[in-house]
Amino acid sequence: MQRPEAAARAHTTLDEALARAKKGDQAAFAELVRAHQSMVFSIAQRFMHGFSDGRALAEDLAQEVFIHLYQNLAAIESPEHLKFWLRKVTGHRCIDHARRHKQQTARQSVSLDDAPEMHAAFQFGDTIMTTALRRMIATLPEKPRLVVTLRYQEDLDPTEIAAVLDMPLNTVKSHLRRSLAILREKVSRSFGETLV
Amino acid sequence: MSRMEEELKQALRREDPGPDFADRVLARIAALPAAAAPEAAPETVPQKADWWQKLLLFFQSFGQSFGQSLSLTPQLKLAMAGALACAVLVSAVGIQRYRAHERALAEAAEGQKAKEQVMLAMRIASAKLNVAQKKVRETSDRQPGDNASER
Repeated sequence: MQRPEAAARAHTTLDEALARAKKGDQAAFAELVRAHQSMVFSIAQRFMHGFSDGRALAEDLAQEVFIHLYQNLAAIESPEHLKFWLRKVTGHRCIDHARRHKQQTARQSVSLDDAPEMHAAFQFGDTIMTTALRRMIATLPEKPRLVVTLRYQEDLDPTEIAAVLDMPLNTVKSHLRRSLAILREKVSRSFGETLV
Repeated sequence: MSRMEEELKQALRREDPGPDFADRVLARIAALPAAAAPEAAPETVPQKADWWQKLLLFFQSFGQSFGQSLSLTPQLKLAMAGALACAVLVSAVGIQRYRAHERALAEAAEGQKAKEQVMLAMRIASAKLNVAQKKVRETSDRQPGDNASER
């Protein structure tokens, strides 16, 4: 967790970088990319998990998002707006990509029903559980998958997710509720243990 | 937060694409065609700007330098607003008068044209009448005996 002074300093730095990048400063733009690359890449990475070359696809998509940002820098008003814009564009690009490759995804994604059942005991932070959960999230439909990613990776509340994805708040809440129920059920089936 | 949610946070923690990611993005941007480059903020007058854009920029720069050199008191602001309103009013009246003048000129031109057309029509009618009259006279000159036998 960042302390308030550190957060304020980071905000000022990003503000300055944004202003310089808008004037065509490539180094400042690179600074903006470095500040947000893990966010954009991870959203894409979670989304492309079911693809055989998911990491490469995620990196390609993340690069496209930043190129799009470079072409639209003039429209970015502040560091907060930049973050919101990046999440929104990444989300929409992920959904577009998934729709274009729906058949391919269906063929290549790992279905939990076909995966061997795992009954090993696990503890908090267990990598087996982590890996399994990522696979389970990858089997969710596109929009619920994105909602879950924004909720638990980006720590956004449902109202913020609704704004990012242009989605009614109740739809976001319903996606979250149903996704959690599905994931709980899958964890229970795979690990023989119920997570509450 | 439930245990499930904690597990999800753990599974969905951010990952970094690597230290060279920004360089790869910049390399792709450098390879973009010029048309795909971002539009720079219009700090100077664009070369192909329309005349009204140039005028707007001129007034903007004039307003900025004017505002910096003068401290605008409320009275001065009021006077400027009044002057601006007067200028707008005078311009509006001027434009209206100019349009009325243009309309009157157009109407006069149309009247003149109609008059010329009427004159032409009358000249044509007169010429035809002359021809007809000439033919009648010739016919009556050619048959004097017929008229005498009838008597």
